Amino acid sequence: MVEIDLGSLSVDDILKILSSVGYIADRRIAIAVYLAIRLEKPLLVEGEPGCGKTELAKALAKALGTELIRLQCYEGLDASKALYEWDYPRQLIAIRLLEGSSKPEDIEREIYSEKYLLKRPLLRAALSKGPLPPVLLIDEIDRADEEFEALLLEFLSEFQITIPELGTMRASRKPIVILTSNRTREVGDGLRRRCLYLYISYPDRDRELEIVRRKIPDIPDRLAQEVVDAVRIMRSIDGIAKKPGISETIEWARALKELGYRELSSEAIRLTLSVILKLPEDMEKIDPQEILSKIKR
Amino acid sequence: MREINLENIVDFIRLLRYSGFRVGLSEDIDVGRAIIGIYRFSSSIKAINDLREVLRIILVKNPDQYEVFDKLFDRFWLYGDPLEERAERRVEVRIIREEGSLDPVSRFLSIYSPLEVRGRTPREISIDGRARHTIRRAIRMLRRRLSTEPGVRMRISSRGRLDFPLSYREALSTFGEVIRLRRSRRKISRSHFVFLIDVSGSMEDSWESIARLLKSIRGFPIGSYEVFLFSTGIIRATENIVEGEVAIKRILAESGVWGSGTRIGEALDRLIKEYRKFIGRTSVVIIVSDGWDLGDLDLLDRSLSALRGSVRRILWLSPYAGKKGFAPETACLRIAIKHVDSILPADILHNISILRRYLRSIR
Repeated sequence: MVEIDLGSLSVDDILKILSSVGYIADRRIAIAVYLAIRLEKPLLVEGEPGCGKTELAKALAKALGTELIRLQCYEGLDASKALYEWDYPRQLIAIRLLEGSSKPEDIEREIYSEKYLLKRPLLRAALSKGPLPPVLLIDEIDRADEEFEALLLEFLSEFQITIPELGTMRASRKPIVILTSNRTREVGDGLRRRCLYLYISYPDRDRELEIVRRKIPDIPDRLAQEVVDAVRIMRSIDGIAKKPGISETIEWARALKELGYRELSSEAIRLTLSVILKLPEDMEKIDPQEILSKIKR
Repeated sequence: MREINLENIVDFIRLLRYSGFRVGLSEDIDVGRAIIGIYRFSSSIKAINDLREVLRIILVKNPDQYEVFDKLFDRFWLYGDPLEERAERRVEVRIIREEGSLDPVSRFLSIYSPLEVRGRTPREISIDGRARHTIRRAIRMLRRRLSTEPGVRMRISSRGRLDFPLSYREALSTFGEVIRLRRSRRKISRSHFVFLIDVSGSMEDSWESIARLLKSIRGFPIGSYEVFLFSTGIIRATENIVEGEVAIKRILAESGVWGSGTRIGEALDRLIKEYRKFIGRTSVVIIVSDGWDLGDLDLLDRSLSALRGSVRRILWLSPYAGKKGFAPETACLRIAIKHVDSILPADILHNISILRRYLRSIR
């Protein structure tokens, strides 16, 4: 792979390289990525589930040929899972092995060396040594506690981590940081203000169709169009709790193609509805015949 | 079309600030770096569209503000409106009864009519960061103090389950020798709040504080709260809270609950019968209402009694409570006081010191 010079990338270049790895971005997304790289600021991406937020980080890492470091957030996530942790079992074994043959201070020096440090994603991103900075994906930040957000504030402003036993470790260059959120809770103002902000909504019809065609190259054209139209109709139905995202559109199109359908039919929708809608109450709201009639209209 | 240069950009940022956007100095600097140092623009339409995106990405941190931002952007950059700064005005309106106008009783009945009034929407209320922060902090304090459900974190407890990681971590202080096995169990740190908010005509004067409360609830984890709005009927508005202000106004207009009369008993009865699955044994119910009720008082008594038996705690927030001369003497509040844990001032969520006093008073 040709090495990319981040300093000379333009917005159009970003559109091209993302497209080359199968991520069809609009200009707005490309500008956000461009600014995140050039201003060296974290990019907070919010939007409906399944709209390609996580995929953006993955595609960017792949397009740049750099490492993707992912931190999946969840309630209760703390510094030991995000930054670093000492490898306690190995330290215990080392203590036992060195007992008797070494002085206590030597044992202490040994067990608190980098060898026994478990580097978690944030520390790994800070210390990454590749030719290009890694892409650090902090996924679903809205699931983490507010205390963790405070910890992130510190890391994202200084890109350094202090380990009392070893000292301060500072990133020699800033990773490209992408945070995603499904807005299940509001991310704090402090973190928002430190980030660039991008809201990704469902793509327009043409872009969604292009994405389906790119992901499933041999899909019959009529099927691709009807799937995209049907999904757009389902999204607009009032009361659908879990609206289908792009990933569901792709999965549904793939399922229909694998089952040998060349166009949508009432039976095809009924049989494969569980691929696109994940809640029984949502499925009850779908009338395949009505959707078909709207598509064919 | 305005020329893209640093001066105009600074003016545009001032316009945003004036319009209520929170734009700090660091964002100013980022825009400057992006525009001048990195992204060189000509004054073409494409450049204007790119500029819109750049400014939006750096300056707007909430999609609910996109529409306002776009309007301001068009006004400033495309139509070249000058930057106007107007002093903020407050208008005080007093209603003076004139000869021939409704007498107070007729006026009372027109406001507290038990009929639904469809299509009306409440007025726009903005909330600044400080007020939002205060309400969110108050809710967090209440959630912590009134927590009823186990959370993720563990606490040492002799009646808990064996906690090996904790035991081994502690053993580090004794050179790896495990002296005692620790037990722990989940800390009771979560709570499920059910807000029942009266949006009838008599609560119109309290709309500002209700709107602020609704906007502040939005950031809490989905599933940790439920919101119902009631007057003559009751609607579940939890999903609309998540969607944002426009969705709240839409549901208020469509359902007809906004500005209608008050039938608290019937609303609570429907809550228990139709929305049972959204309330549980560990729920803390917060009713925000002035207690002016023209509904069936026996039904109110029965419904509150049933609700009392189904949830952990009921708090009643009244806009009049805590004010000089207040006593729960309306028929509704006299019934309520038998069933609820406390009748508190509605200000309690807007004023941390009142909340602290209350929290100190409970076990």
